[in-house]
Amino acid sequence: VKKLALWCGVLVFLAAAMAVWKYDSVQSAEQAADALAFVSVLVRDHIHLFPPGEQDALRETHRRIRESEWLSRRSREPQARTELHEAFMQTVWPLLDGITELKQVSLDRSRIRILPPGPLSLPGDSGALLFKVTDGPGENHYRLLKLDLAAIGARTDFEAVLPSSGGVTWILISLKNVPVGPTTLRAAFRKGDQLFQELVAVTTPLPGRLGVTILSDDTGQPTPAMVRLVWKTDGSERRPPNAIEFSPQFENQGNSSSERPANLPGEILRSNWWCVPGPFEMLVSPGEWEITIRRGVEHVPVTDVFRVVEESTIEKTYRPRRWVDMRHHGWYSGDAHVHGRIVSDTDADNLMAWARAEDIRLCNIVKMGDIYRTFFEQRGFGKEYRVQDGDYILSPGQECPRTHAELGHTLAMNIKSMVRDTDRYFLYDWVFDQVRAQGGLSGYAHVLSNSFHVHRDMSINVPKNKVDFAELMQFGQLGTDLYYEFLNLGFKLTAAAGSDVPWGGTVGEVRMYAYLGRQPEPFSPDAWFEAVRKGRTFVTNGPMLEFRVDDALPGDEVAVSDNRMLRVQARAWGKKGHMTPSRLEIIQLGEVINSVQTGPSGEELDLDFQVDSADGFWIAARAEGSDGSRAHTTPVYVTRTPLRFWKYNSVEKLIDQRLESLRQVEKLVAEARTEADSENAGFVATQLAAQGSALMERVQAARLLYEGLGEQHQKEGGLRRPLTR
Amino acid sequence: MRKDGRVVERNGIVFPGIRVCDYLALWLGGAVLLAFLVSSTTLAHISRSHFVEQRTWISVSPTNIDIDIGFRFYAPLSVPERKRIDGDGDGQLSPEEIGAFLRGVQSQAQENLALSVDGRRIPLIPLYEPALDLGTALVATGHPHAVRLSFFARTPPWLIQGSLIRLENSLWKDFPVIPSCQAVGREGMEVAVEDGAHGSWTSPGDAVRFSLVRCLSGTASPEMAGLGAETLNALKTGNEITARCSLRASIGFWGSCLVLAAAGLLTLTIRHRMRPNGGG
Repeated sequence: VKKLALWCGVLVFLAAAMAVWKYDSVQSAEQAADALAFVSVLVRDHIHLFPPGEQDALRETHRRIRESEWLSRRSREPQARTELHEAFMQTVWPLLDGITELKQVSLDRSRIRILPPGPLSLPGDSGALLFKVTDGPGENHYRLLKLDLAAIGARTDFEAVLPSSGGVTWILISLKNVPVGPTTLRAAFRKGDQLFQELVAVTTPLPGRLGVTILSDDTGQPTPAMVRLVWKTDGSERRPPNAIEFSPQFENQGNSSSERPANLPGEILRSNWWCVPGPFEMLVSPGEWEITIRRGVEHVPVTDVFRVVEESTIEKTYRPRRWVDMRHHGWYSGDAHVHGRIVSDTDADNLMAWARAEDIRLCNIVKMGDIYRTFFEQRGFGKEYRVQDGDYILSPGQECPRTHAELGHTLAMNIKSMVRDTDRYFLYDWVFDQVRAQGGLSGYAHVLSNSFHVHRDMSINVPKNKVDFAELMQFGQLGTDLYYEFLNLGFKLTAAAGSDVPWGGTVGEVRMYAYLGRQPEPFSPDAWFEAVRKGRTFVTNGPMLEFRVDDALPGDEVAVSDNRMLRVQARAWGKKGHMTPSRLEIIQLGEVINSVQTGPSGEELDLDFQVDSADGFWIAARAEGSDGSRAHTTPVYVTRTPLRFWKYNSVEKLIDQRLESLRQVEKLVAEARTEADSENAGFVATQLAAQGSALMERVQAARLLYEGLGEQHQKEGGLRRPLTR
Repeated sequence: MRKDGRVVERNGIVFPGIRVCDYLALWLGGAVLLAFLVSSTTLAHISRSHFVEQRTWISVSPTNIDIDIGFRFYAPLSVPERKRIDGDGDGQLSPEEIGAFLRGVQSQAQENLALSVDGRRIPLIPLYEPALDLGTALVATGHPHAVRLSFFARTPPWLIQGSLIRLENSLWKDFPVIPSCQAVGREGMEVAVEDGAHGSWTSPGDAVRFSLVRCLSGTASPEMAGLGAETLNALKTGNEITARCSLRASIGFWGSCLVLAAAGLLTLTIRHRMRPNGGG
């Protein structure tokens, strides 16, 4: 019994020691985490509280604290974390004590004293209150609070809870939308049951008045533009007062905010942008401001930093310089994939202002559908429902059929009526035929990322020559893997690009250019569609491209009857100081056969060389900009009867890939049929099962085409000669 | 127990009895139900056409690689995610629930993000606290929500012109995701996102998404070469600091033991001495 009691005693001691140690460690770790969060908010949102000379040092100290925190977290020992934190915080506390806006708070029984007395001057309509509450000796504690004086039900009081153990508590209150002039806030500090209250006055300086006018470089007249306005004091972005509200037109789909997070390459990448239809004027806090103005890739963005002083008026006029006018080269820009409701003139004006702001000549405004419903209503389709303002055109189109787990998304341009029949929803060829009968163009969306299993329907309908284009650029990215698979099988497909707003960032952030040649003003959208039909396009979000094989343009066919050399000419160009092409490549059957690259100083890259026509191939140009932007042309197709312009050595593998896609469609139909027999069958499965036989017929027809290609591959074996470059 | 095994009586209380075949049936039924739930959930995600938008911003300077990742959940995916955050199920998301959710996200991010330069892994360190923009604190809403994560890594000394920076991301892998990536070089560095760097739009449970950024010009700052050494070393060697901290922690623990033991002994001694007859 004695031994048992002894052991019990030892165990109790151990447990007690563990509890004491753990409690202490956890408490310290929590304090350390609070300290870290506190410093992070100071660095990110209120670095302006510190003298400019100390700001970089504080940022680096913050990173070091984070680094040490990460290291100690890996050790899984809270005590070690605390020690590492303490070491770094030793360097931060003196900085905090040195802040002139710091309010020292002392508590004495029921009394509270805040020093220095008097109102705190905020730098503008936002800022921070920093309190150091001293409550006897003890450790440091940290509290973060927010007060938005324009929030719904906004209050003018705040309460900070103080630790019962005493010590020093640092309290940082982030203030937003503080009215002009003096504002009185009720500060409350709670310690246990005790509440210490005091009024704290803050004052904001009188605002200045900012007027901004943006001029078109073409006309010298005010123009819509994309604007980013930043108050440099705290880095906050401000909305221009006349920024267009797009949300209702986006019907809560995608990112329906009017503040557009553009997918742009380069330094301005993370920016959010507002579309302003014309000049604006607004009250702004004093201090340094930064404005950036964009008008699409053909213009050099303008960034200006200026200082606003109290009660002053500052008028700014900007004229973003056009570094290239592609119309003069015969190329007209377009965005194949823009969503937005147009049921009124106001809706049309809003989207037109956006197109003009981004300087995109033709927007395919697509009504979207799925098997259940449609989105983004349009007033109508066809020429009479186009909206035209000079050389800018909104043309109604559709993104439908659009299945997500089955066959992918499709786009149509220049249609006379929406083509949609849920009883034939999985028979995409029916839609493609209808669109073509209307004089429109069909294509696949999201080909760049092979999204929504788009390869399945491509495998059915591309061999049947049912579609015109494939979307290769979106969200600032170029993706060609799937595109090359089809080109390498000898199928023609035109390169297209679409922003997919409101899922994408901004209209024209990726764009396609169609070659129309010299055009009378205003240019004809019909000519643009005709150029796309011919495949005379390239896609880009930066470099401009020109590409010829002999006299053939992208999309053209060069028929050769004998072995001869072809002249390949390619040019990529940009603007020094803005974006310059860093690499230009010629792609033949998916392989780079020639390239040139340069440093960022050269505005232009050229290639001019000869290539053997050999047995035929597809050949295209691809470019990369110094800011990471991309461009790619539709190929020129070099054909030699009776051979296909395909990647002969890879044909078997390429056909296998397509047959696998067809097998996936067969499996889908089989699964849908099984599900359709159950009681809880969904609408999609029921429809797919009902349309299954018709879809299977199409799969079978495609399979026969691939078999035919396999046979042709065999036959060509004896006819082809080795490729020479 | 009745012979048919249907009823069991223990301590005068009657329980429904379960036979072996009942167990089997129960398990089978459960499995079928689970399979149904899993498949219907998965299908529901896909068929609703809704997905999580993942934007990655990578900024590369000679001293630091900063990485911001934003996730946007559109309305139909936002509601189930909000329900998950709503711990007490009251339909409102409290600051405590949001805090708990964000701590969980940060913790998961550490496990589901991996950064490497030229195939060599480098530590990814949180730079700012994760942020949640709910729009409204209601669970039942048509409003999307967004999560933003900020990390940094010290630019490793082996980053040179031509180096490839790779960020692997398997956060929210149970959702369909549209990934995109943007990159910028700073302080003399030039970088570009590699073609296809954002990977495909993914279905639930798909493989890891990744972002690839190529360094076109510039190198790591030589002055900064030693700065991230400790973190790199920790990642590489299974970390010495663990041992060092463990030792410190152990001293803390055993120190506490010693203090308590001493206190206990002192108490016993005092009590022993205070006894009138000297104990026994």
